[in-house]
Amino acid sequence: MESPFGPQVLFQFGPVPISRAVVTTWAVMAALTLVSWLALRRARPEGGPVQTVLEILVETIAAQIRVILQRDPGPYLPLLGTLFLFLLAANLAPILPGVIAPTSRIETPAALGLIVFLSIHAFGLREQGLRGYLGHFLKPNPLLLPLTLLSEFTRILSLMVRLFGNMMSHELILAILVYLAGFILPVPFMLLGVLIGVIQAYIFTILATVYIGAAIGAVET
Amino acid sequence: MQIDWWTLGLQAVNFAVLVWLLRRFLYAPVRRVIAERKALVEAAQIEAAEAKAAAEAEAERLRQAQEALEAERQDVLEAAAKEAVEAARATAAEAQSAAQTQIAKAQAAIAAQRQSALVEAQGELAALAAGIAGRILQDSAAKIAPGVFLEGLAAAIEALPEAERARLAADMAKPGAVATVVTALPLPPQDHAAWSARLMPVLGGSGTLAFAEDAALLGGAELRLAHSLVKFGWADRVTAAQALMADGEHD
Repeated sequence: MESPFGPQVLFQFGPVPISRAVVTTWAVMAALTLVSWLALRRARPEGGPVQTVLEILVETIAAQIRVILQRDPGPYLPLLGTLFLFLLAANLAPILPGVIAPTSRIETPAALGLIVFLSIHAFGLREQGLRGYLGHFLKPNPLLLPLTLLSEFTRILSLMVRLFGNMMSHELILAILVYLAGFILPVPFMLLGVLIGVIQAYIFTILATVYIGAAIGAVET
Repeated sequence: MQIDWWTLGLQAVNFAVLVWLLRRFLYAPVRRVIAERKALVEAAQIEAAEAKAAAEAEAERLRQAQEALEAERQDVLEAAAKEAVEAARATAAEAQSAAQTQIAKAQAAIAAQRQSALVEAQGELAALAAGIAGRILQDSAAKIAPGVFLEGLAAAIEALPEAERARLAADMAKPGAVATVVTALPLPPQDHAAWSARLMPVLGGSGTLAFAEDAALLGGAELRLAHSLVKFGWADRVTAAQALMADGEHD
């Protein structure tokens, strides 16, 4: 029997199994892209309400990045902004009936963790150079290098597991409540799920920003 | 728990694709719009700054113009004040001169009136005195003997210059010459001979004497011929005294 928290493959594309999480992710991607395109395809300085909301959203994210990194958020905005918007949309997707959060399956947080891990080192190398970037692992003490290297993996692992654990456990609790108490009692827990989804998106993005800041020398960890 | 590595890879690719899509359809347009808005704001700020500078320049120009107008106004006021002072001074001088002229004219008129009044008073006084003296003399003449007048008239004839006496004598030498003796009171007929006896030798010639009266003489006597007149009448003396009094040269 397949685990309810397994990939839940919907169909095969050649050798590639297409899971529900991937399909949901495609839907989220399509929704985000479509909304952005529709709202900003004729963007003008005196834009409409949707354009204004998107501008406020993007500027707020950029302001948060600027506060943490203490520099121009331009190079980091596409990655970190997309991370937050995707996590927000993916975490809140279960509001729609029959939709699961892609982040409640381990593959999606793992993929995001992998991308954050690679991005941390890419930004660190680009900002500080190879020598400078490798040198920062020896600080504050070269004797701590093994722990420092280990923490590079464990913090990404904790980032991934925190997101997955929260979203998966929330989904599990809702399933148990629906099984035991029908459809009315889970409603408050679904509202709690909205809060959890927003908080987890925020925490994941902020921690990723802090890790990138540490790699480029903008943040002491 | 099992991990589907295909799904993990697909999700990583999906996220990378989403980053590209949002960079193209979300972040780029937003940043472009913000840049355009910022440029508009900066342009508006520059335009506002230029407008402000122009307004300040205009205000400065107006301030300078106002200062120039104020200075010009002060100059005009000072010139007008000076002109007014000069005009007032000239008017005052003119008024003072006119007043002095009026005063001089008034003083002259007063003096003239005073002199006229004085002369008139003197004349009236002289006339009054002459009248009084005339009445006194007229009253006195009646109490004086005619012989006194006779001697006075004879002395007056004798006191005439030689040429006058010669002309008297010539008048008396003409045939039928009559010399009239005029007195204020009529001479008694019995005195006519005495008068003739006393005067004819003095007059000379062969004429005769006639006698007449004229109250206007007041006293004394006159001898009237065709071309001569010898006065010894008091009226003439009073008239001469009155003239002296009226002229104010009596003192």
